[in-house]
Amino acid sequence: MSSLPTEIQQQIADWLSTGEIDLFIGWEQGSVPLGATPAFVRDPQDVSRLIWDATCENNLTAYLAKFKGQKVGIMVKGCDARAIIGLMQEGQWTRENLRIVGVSCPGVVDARKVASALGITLEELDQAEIVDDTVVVGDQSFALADTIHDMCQTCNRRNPNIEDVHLGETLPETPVDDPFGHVGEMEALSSDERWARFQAETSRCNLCFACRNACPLCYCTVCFADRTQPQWLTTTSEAEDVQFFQIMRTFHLAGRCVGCGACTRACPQGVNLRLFLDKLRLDAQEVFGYTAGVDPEAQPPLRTYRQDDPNDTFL
Amino acid sequence: MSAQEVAGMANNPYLPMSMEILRIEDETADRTLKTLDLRWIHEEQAAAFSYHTGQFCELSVLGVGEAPFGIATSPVEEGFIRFTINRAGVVTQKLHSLKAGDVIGMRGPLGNWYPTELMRGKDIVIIGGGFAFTTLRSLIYTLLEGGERDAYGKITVVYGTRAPGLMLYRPDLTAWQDRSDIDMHQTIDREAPNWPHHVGFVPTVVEEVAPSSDNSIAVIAGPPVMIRFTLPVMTKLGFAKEQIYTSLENRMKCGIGKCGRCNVGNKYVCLDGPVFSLAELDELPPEY
Amino acid sequence: MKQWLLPKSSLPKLADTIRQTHRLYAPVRLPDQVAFGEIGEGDPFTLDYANARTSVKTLFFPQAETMLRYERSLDRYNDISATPVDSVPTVVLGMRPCDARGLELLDRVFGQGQYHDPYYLARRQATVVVALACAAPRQTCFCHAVGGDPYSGDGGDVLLSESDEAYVAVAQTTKGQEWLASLGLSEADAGHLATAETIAEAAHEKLVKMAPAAGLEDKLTALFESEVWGEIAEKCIACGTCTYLCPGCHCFNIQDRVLANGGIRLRSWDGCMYEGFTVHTSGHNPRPDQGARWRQRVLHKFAYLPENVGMYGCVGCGRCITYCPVRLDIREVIARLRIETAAQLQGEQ
Repeated sequence: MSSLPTEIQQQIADWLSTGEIDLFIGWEQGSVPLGATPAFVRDPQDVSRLIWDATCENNLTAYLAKFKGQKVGIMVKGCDARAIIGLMQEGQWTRENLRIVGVSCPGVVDARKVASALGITLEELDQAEIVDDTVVVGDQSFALADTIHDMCQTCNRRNPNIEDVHLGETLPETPVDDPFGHVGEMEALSSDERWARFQAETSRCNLCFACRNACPLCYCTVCFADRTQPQWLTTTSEAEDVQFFQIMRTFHLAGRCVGCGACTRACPQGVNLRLFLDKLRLDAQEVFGYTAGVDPEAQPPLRTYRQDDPNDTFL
Repeated sequence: MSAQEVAGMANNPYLPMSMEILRIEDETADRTLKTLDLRWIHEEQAAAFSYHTGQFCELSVLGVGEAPFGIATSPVEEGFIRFTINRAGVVTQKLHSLKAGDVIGMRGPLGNWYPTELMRGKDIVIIGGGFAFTTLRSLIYTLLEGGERDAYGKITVVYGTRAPGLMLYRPDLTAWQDRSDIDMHQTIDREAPNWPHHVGFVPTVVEEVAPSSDNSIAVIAGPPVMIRFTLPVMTKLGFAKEQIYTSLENRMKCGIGKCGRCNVGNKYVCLDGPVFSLAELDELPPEY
Repeated sequence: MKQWLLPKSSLPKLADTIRQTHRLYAPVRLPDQVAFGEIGEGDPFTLDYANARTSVKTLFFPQAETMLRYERSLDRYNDISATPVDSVPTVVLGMRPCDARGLELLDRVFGQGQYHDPYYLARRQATVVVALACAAPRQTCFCHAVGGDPYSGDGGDVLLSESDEAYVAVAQTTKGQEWLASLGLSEADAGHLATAETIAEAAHEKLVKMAPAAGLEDKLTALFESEVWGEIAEKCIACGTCTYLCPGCHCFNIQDRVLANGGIRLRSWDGCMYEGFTVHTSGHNPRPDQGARWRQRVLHKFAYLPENVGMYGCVGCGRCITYCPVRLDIREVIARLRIETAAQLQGEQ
């Protein structure tokens, strides 16, 4: 079982019993193969439910908005931690009210890849287990490293950059050759080809809003997509609504998205959302020299103005 | 539109009838409420339209949307149908901007109605607040002008708004004030110059008027806060929950019990309501 | 009722025959899912699959459909130019009994009572539903706990049951009877019938043990004020995936879309999981938090629908369990509620 080490369990239990936190958000075992489920622990005795392994894919920081103003403990992977800093950069959370257990993550498993390797659909994956570094399905096994999400395979921030205690060992931050390779591929296409690719990718979207709701930086009380005055879109799965929503959400995250990938993992239709968000993340780096989720004091580029801001991106 | 098309529309409960605005005028001094009188464009639809007091219709502006409104006219008022619209959102804002001669859509009549059958042989107490008075106008008109005034006992009305200019249907109220077959009590929250009637919140005035609960039916329609404070008064006066009726509101879309939005428990406000007795509401979860 | 034999090898030819008079939908295996698609000449399809990701309700109650088209005229806001209703003769081949029961539910919601929904009913009446019994229920299947069965014929016109390189086809309705009779099939022989029987028995053995939901509908409303709903819903991110994939979910929105010379009034899927579902224009929301919204989901499916139309709103297909981004499992919700209702009953004694 993937229970937390005793000292971590004890730390969380202490935080709860002393009242340093009212609630600890972590993961516990889920009821479907290869998917942990978020756990909300308030009783110190319940910390034994918490786990950490490669099935813990949810970015739990998306829940912080619900507990604004309270004292919350939370477990974060490297990517998740960036979202906490993102929220601090935007004044959504203060450091004092958080107790963070950081965990170094070698990647979270993509159940779809396992199903695909077996030639079946997700519905047909009745059972699977992670044993050490392998995913075992009946009498078949796969190297865990081959079944983690694409985004995890090019991850260059496996260790949290904000935490109070650390679970397990720190992972070496091996430089990744081309973390934005997928973006580069699309950039190399002609304008028409890129549009066709965008259309094809988003044609699978049915506007369920799982991406938006799983995103820690989408915390608007009333999202533009839900307004009636004015009404920006109708809620169909037709191209005009889907494309409008995806473009607008992507641009609302310009310079703010930390690249955690929660949106892409949450999507039930397998839309490659990070392809578009990472393009804007790359732009933020190249145009403004800015990376979201690193420096709590830094401001997202579209929120500030500097005299030396580059002008060549303006027509 | 051919007669065939008109008949075809009857099989599709989502299609609005075409209605021409006869009159659209401010109903209140602050202009947040306007009254629309509508007439049917297609005679067959006018002839087929038969409603009861307390029902509502969905008014439709194609390109903007639809919203539900209580019918303010009584079935005995022929040739037109009246609604009073509070300007609050997208649809009502558009309705407010229209003029006489414009054509809009209407679906209805929808919902259930006030239990006038049960009211026969009984005294009737009608309590209204603010702009919820729309269907109460329909009820009062039906009782008084339905040709069967003798079938009902004493009729007592308590109607309150914040200020005189916010009262709906002032000509009707004045006419009823002068009649001997209805006991009108108009009230406003605070003193105002030249106001000859009550001053005080509706629950207070109801307590002062103290209508008898003996062989009575009460209908209450108003903002939630008014209802909340009036109910204890009614209980004190001896009214049982089976004797008190109210008209609920909830967010609606289809108006015909299909879209799943307006339910309170297993009942749809648009289909099983909007009129419920307090005894019926007691059986339902407090989800409105 | 006659039992016909449909050899698997004859499926392509059957498809061709059907397509001469009907539009045909059947399961198509795509890279990462199985989806019901329209089958054209020579298009491959399969009946060898678990279930489609998207429920077949989409073919009868699409995510978006035009209810009416209107023209724009000055000062006139009700010039309806068309009310499109789809009554193209159609065959849907190979949907699972859970999905067919979902149609049975929609039949009752849209077709019973004072008002009938012409858009759904036109499609339904024009369609022959050929359901395919489940020889291999999955771990996430629980139709048997909510009044269904892997071999249920509810909602379908024909039920196919797995046999030896063939299906045994039995009509469930008059429409199904007439359709089957028109196909020129042979009657199923004793051997095929026996094999079908054996496979059916094995299928039932595979069902994951789960206590039936029966009886829950009488106890749930008593939990209305309980804190259990907030606890259940705490991890829900209100994305609506469960609603969209569910064969029984049918709540919808009506919105107008303005186009160049007029526009359309369209019906689109909506859901009680969304915060804005019940919010009044004044801002008041009778269901202000996700706990209240989850309470509505459960009560609607397990209390109100049984009372109003005589069946649960959940058919046990398991899609919500597989695709929920946070793995909120409705079976665990029911189990939790069972404990709560028992505790409450004890507390009252």
